[in-house]
Amino acid sequence: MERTCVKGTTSPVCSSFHILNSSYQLLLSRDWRGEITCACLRRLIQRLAYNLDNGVSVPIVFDPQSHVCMLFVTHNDILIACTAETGTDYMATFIFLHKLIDVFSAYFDCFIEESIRDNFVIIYELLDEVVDNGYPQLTDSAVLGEFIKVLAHRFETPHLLSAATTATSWRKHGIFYKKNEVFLDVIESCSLFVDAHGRETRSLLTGTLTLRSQLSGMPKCHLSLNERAIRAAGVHSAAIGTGTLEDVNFHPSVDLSAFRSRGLICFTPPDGTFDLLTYRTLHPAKPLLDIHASTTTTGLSTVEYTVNLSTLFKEQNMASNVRIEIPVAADATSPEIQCSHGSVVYQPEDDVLTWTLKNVKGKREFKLQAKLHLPSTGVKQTRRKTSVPVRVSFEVPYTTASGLQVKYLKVIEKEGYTALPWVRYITRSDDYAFRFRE
Amino acid sequence: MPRDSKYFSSSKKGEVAEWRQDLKTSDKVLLKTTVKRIIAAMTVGKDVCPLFLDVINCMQTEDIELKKLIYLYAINYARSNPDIAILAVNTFVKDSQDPNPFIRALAVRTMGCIRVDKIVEYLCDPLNLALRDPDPYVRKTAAICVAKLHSINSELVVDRGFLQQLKYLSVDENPMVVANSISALVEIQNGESSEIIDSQCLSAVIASLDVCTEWGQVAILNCLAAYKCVDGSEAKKVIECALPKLQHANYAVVLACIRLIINHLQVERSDELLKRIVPPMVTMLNAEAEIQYVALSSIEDIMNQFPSIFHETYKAFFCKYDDPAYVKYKKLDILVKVTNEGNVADILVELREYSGEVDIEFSRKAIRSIGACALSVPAFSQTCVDALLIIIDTRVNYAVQESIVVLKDIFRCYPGKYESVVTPLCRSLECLDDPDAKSSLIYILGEYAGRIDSTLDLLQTFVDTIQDEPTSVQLQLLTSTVKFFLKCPSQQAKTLVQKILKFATTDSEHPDLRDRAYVYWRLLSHDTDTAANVVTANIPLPS
Repeated sequence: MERTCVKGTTSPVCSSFHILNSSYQLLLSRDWRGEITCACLRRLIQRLAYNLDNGVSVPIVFDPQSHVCMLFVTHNDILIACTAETGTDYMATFIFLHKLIDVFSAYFDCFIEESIRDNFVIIYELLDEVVDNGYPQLTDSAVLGEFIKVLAHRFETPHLLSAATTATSWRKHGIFYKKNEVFLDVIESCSLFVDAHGRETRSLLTGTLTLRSQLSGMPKCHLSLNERAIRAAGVHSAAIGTGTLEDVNFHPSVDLSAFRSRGLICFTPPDGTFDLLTYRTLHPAKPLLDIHASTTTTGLSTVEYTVNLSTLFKEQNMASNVRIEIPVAADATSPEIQCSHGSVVYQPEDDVLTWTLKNVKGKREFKLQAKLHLPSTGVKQTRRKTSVPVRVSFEVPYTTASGLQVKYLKVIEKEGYTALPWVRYITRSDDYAFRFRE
Repeated sequence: MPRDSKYFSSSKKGEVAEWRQDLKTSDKVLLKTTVKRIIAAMTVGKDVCPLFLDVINCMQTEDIELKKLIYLYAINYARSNPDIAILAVNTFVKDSQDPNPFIRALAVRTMGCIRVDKIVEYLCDPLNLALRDPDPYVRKTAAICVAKLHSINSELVVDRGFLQQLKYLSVDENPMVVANSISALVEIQNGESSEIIDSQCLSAVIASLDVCTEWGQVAILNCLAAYKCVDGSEAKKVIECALPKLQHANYAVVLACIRLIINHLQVERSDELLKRIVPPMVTMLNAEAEIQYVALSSIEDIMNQFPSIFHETYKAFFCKYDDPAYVKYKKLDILVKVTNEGNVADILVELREYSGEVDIEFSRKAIRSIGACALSVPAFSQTCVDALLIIIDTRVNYAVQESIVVLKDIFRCYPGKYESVVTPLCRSLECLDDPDAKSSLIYILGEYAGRIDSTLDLLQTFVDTIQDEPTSVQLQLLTSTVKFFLKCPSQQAKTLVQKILKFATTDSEHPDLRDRAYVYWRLLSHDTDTAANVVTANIPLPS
């Protein structure tokens, strides 16, 4: 791969666009720049097919005979691909492809091979609007949606044209709600990986502030977060990395300079649901749940699994829908299970024991013991340990693991209506896994 | 939503003739259906070029959806019908003066895509008007159209003064127009961004950065990244203005911003600024796999310039078990580069974990990485060797073989330090089938001939099957046997050397092997001391 970052890149983000099905047949193409020859495209697709069929899934293929490469993303049963000059801004191309998928998914509910045949006219229309000559123009499905649909039937749409070119391209004029409300969900997802020695090799906390706005007119919203969160997010540059939030990304509607200077999040929200900001933090010192799982082979034909679950969060909080998947030996049979709380189901088709606990309080401990029988071969075997870890999923409502809190959310509109803000917190697991201890 | 798939279904013979008939209809619904069928046929790759004239004749329509479809058809087939394409010009020119700005923009955009020399001349006048259009949507389309025109006929762009107009537009009041003009200028100047912005218009370009759409920001940031600042204070100003973009939700904007910072750091060095780019880069490693891949490649690039900035965040490069292979491999490459004395212990534990992965190629690479750590952090070479011994102890065949290759380099790098490892190594050997591993073991045998009890037996077995080995192994075996003889001379060793020299000089057809054998033969027949000096001389350390 050529240099992608240090060198400045100025070539267009994409040259042509293609949709292929799972057997690498072209379903639809749109060539914006007329640079790619048929032979070159054929070579690229051949190479891509060869790679994928041989288990190589690198998302960029290069054509040795020209300075062209193909970047692709798989989505459901189709491949979405762009060709571009080698050395272009690959990040922009991939982001663009993902945005296109978002746009198409928003249009067709389910973006699959079937929907391309059903909607090829609208796809061509959209492709005409999202890119000109290889430069992305507008990839916001909310605005595009209004834009293409209305234009397809009527001529007069002056205010939408202006929306496509101005700074607030995400919101159209003249929205009206009888009851003005705004819902803010603070969702944190934590992921953790603990290896066989009890070491946390990966521990990460990401958060999303998802906003659902039902507001009239062109409102300005001011959102203030508690000191701890803002300090770390880099308002005062000296404090970077010392606080809880390590990196914050804002929706394009947020005034970044205002955040930098005053620590206040000011924005004019798009209509409907969107992610206002996402952030990443260093994990809180302790994980929310801890699993100590071990396995022993006793005798020649039984294997025992012991799993201890301890909840480490505050006692007044509650974790719900705790689900623990314990991988067991593939050839094991007839489990004997004992557990102190919750229910256990053995799913031989996936080789797992699933332990579910509806609600558990903080600072508690639970234990599961399972004995499974193995086909006896008469010799003591040394079993190669499984590479699949014990996986856990859970939710802890009404709290954030990072300690982030909303101080206030204010809506300011010329009309002067009062809007009701609702705020809700939840912390969930995302990829929480523990290896069996050695 | 109406289903378009029905347009694909007709496969009757003579459909082209039927469509030609249908295109003459005055029934608007039938006309639209027919054009959709034609576009559907075009989409699946059927040749509908013969209908060109008939389709072009329908171009003058009030129905915008139909117009778009016909324009699309025209773009696809105009090149193969340049003479008829001229007929479409009238409609284009008329549309470019339509009261609806959307139609004006559509006409200009489409004309630019028809890359036919004869049409280009007619494009100039509408384009000239569009560049001054009161509606920004038309102006932003026209700006890009200048770049299209330039790729077909660059002289026209200069003659008609479009370049100058584009420069005016690059300070337009509308940010999208600014972004597109800059994109077009960059393309026309063939990437020489330095000629587009000068110190005077710099402030205007920076100002438009804040109000622009995300894709416009990417274009402007990329252009600013290539801008050559006149002095340090200007570089500082550019960086300061771009800095808030590190927090943008679109990673393309973030990376473009990082690119800008790095380019201008050449002028205005600042470690504090450099640190700012680390958290956003690490955040990208939680995005979709493709994004991660590009982010990792970029991190590698950045590390070539600033080797140590990612050392603290080494945990971000630990592989998840469900990462796709191409992400894992990149992470592994970077992990080796971020090792230092502070983190090597953690990284080694992780690498050992990978050595047991189901993906054999990946686990071999992990073992090779352990070797790389041993070479790059000398203080921890013992830990690395211990890790390798644990892997060897598993007796998993490919892992043992890979460990041999790695140990050979460690032996070479730290001569005389880890000889005790050789014995357990030989004990774990069950079956060697990888040529690299074989060569490495044979190398070790020759190098440590005096200290391994079973050297003679092992060499004997290799020599017995030498004709089946690849040349690389044969060459190594020849050298090691001679070394062994020189280090521990005995009657059996002598017989062995004679046997292999005979094979190499008479049976082998490989010139390198024969030449090397002759050299050894002559050295040995002349004087064994001189031979020993030459053959067992120390070789340089691996780098």
